Amino acid sequence: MSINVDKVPMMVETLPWQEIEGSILLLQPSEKFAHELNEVGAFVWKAIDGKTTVGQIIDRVIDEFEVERKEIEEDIDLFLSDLRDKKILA
Amino acid sequence: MNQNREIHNDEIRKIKRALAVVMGEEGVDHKSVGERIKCFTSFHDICIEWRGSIHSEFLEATRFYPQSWLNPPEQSADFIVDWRQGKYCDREIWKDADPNCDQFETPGCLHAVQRDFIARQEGKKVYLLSDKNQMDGYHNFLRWLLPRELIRKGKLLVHSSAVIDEREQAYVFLGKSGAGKTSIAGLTESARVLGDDMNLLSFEGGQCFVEAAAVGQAVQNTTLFARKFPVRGIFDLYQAKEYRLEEISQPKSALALYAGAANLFLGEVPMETVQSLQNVVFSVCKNVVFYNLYFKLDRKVWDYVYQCR
Repeated sequence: MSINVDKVPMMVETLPWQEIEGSILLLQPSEKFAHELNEVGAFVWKAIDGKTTVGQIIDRVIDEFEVERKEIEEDIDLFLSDLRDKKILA
Repeated sequence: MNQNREIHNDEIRKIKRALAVVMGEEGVDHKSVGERIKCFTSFHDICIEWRGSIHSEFLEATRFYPQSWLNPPEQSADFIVDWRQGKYCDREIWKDADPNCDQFETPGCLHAVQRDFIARQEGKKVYLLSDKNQMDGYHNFLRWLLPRELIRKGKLLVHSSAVIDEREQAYVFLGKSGAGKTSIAGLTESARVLGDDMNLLSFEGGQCFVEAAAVGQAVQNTTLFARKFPVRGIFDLYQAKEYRLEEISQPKSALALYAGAANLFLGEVPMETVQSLQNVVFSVCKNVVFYNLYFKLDRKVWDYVYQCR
């Protein structure tokens, strides 16, 4: 699987969210859903600003959590793909 | 979902016409609908001025209300509801209607349609048309109108049952339809039941409280009216073959509470309302322990509930 590290993740709309015990609870009012993002997901979510590329996000996660690149790349790609499926990211 | 949406869109024209009739825009003789009234109800810090006719449904629903709810001190109403019943309804409106409440906006107005009522809200002024052959119109109308106002006042309407023990501590039960919320409340011996379907959670002075909601259900326990009780624990229910009680994390607690929040139409409310919801959920989850309770329908379940005392 190849990851497009130059892609810039963009939110479809500004969604309300709140942080509880290190997790982020993301409300998606249009779909009547609330989603829980774990610690790494929360870190990635906060990095999505419409300017930062996937590659830069991966670098930041590696610095923050001291994980292997190969291990985290796939997780982040899946995470972003899941958010796109949920129509949270464009 | 899509099918319901198609039905809904197809019916909008009929609904708007029915509402126009009930609002007297088509030369209807209002003398034929009965005595004109003006009365008030006031509960959960929301005052409603009722206009229109006296309906048996209203009398039945308010029969157990304390006098303080029916004769509130002079105050300005949060809503003025003009209520008409039955005879103007186009039966076709109800025939294929979604059993859930559906809501749509037109410029300056919010409309709702459910099997037993249709309504149009223009700010404080609300026009209500209910079907006299289906007696839940009053309750379902309040269940549509009030949750948004309640959450603005810091009260979250939750699909739940709630029980008070002898120390006046409350236990709140969440869960999907059929999970056992009503059943578990019925299995108490010494405890008393608050709302068995709808309750209000609020947060004051560092503590979470629950009160029976006079919204969306018939409230008949007059001794527990208008009283708030401190919440000892909140339980997400799962019927199972073996008992198990497990404390859940705050994020998971919040998810359970969001799932239980009733009729907020989150996709169609202002962001301030969503923020009020977030604030209440955050406060409750930070200060009350939530549990997953796997249980069988017998009285032993209360041994597990009381483990949180």
